[in-house]
Amino acid sequence: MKEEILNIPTPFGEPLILYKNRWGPENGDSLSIVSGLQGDRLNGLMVASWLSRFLNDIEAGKETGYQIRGTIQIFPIVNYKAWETGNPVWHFDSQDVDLTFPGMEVGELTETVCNAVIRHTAEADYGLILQTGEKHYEDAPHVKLIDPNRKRRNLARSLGLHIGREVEEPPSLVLSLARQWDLMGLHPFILSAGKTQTYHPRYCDLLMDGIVNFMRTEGLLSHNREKASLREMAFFDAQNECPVLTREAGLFYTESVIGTAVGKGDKLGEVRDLYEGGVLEEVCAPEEGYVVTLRDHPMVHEKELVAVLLREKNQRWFWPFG
Amino acid sequence: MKTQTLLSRSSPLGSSLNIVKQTFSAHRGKPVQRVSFVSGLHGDELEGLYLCHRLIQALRQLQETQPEVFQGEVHVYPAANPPALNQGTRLWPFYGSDMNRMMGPHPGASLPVQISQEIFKDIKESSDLVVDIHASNLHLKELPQIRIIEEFSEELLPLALQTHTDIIWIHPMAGVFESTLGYNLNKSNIPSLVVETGICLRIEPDFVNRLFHGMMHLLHHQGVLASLPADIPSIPSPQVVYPRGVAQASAKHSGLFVSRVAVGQRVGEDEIIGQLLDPVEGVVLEEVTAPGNGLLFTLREQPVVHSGALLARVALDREPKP
Repeated sequence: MKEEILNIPTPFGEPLILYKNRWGPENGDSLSIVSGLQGDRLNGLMVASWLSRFLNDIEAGKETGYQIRGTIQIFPIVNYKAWETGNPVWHFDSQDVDLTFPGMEVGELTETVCNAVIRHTAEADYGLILQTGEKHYEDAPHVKLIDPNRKRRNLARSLGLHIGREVEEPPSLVLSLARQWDLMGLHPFILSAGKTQTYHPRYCDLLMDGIVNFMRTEGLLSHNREKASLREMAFFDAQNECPVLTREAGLFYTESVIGTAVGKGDKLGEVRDLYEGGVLEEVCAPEEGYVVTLRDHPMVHEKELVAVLLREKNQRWFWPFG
Repeated sequence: MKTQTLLSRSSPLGSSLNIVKQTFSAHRGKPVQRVSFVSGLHGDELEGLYLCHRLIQALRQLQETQPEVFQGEVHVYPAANPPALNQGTRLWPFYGSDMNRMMGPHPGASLPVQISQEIFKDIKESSDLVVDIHASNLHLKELPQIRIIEEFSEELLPLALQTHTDIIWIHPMAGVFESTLGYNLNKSNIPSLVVETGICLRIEPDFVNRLFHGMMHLLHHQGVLASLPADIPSIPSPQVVYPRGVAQASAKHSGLFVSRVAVGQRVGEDEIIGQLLDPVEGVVLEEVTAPGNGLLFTLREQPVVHSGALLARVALDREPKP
């Protein structure tokens, strides 16, 4: 059911309206899914739309065997003004929405928008934020865990993305939605896959499959025959992330594949001179690891980040039967 | 004066990204104190660049004519974010990153994160006192002021009183400050004053002139300069305001705000300071009134507002009773 969460008049006529979709009973376990925090991250938007249709179909009896047991909310668009231009932020205030939570009930537009999302998700038990890699980088599908513990690792396993990245949450990120949810007592997870400005169908399929499995595992959805499953997953902590930097400035030609394992010394790509095309540097993996983030834009400065490897040591595997 | 490039990165286009620091050393022996001035973290805030120019110009002249006056050391970082300054944007243009939200502990290794961290480290290692100079954003014009977070006020207020600002505003901590230069330096026990003045993309020569006099007095007060040039006038005391001493007017409607007053003007409670207009229907939506008696130190300049937007702040003559 589509509901307004905010309706603000604009100076020139048409109001700005933000919506959420909501399904299920008021008093069950509750999941909130948020996409569209930045105006250039398409995968989350596509997943939110697909999930909404799927849940509408269940409600209409078109998805045989499924029943909605808990409260599910989806907020497809948050930074409405940024989506109007396809940019990550609204140029009017240049403010990163994901550093503006909890916002203010009465304040500047971006603050009001963030506050509306916080108010509508305050009662949830779980929160999923749909993201992509940062601008100019592609992320392999993975789950980011804030303040990880046994319970959260178990929850993450049902999201089915195989890689759990236990991210640092320094004080500088206190105004992110995930951190605010964490402070409010929700279990927050950031699902990141792909890159900005690009719709990646295979990643979206993975995300949708994982989210539906999560809903079923946590009892928000049920199916009369099929069982939900916990899935194999490797967790990597922040200390074991290995950033790979260039030595030279130029054009970076990648030779590695996102989401694959590389060995120490394996070639990740090369930097070539922009004007003459000569090879300036071969960029190699300083250690073995899993390529979770890869540079997508070829132009690089000296000491530019071109890849993030998740190193194998200290990973914790959780098997479906474990 | 010694010019240092504190960091340099080759660009793929062939040029270099250089961050420059100008240093005026003590005439002889160990400096009594090391004071740093930083501007241009946001590339559309130009008041600080002009202030740095005034300081460098005056200090160069002083060093040439009376080198013995220098008892301490002065560092000036006039352009901390050259890519954004070159584009006239608040954010680092290629990434859309806010450098003043990446200071202190911060995850990631993108170029803006690396540069922010290196600047922070250099300032921290070479300063006993820092002045971080900002202009306002696109929307609001500010009287020259120093903003101090309550927890640092005991140490910072005596320093701030030496500067020629109209207002010293002591305000509560908020999450947004966690990743700023000023907050993180203060947390590292390096007293740091944050100046806000004027509006972005413009220079108010009178405001900067007063700040220039104030900063010279600060250097004298700290013993960095044994005496002041004869043309530096004495300075009046600023008005110190605490959280309850600031009242603000916000828009109750969305529309065009047309003001009738100017920053620096004294206003009376309920005095009309502007109108909110509906440009489509041609009607006056709201007569905007001053929220109290006092000094108008913030005023909306960008007229397009959504309901809830800040229109004006007044430093009250008398704090309201709790």
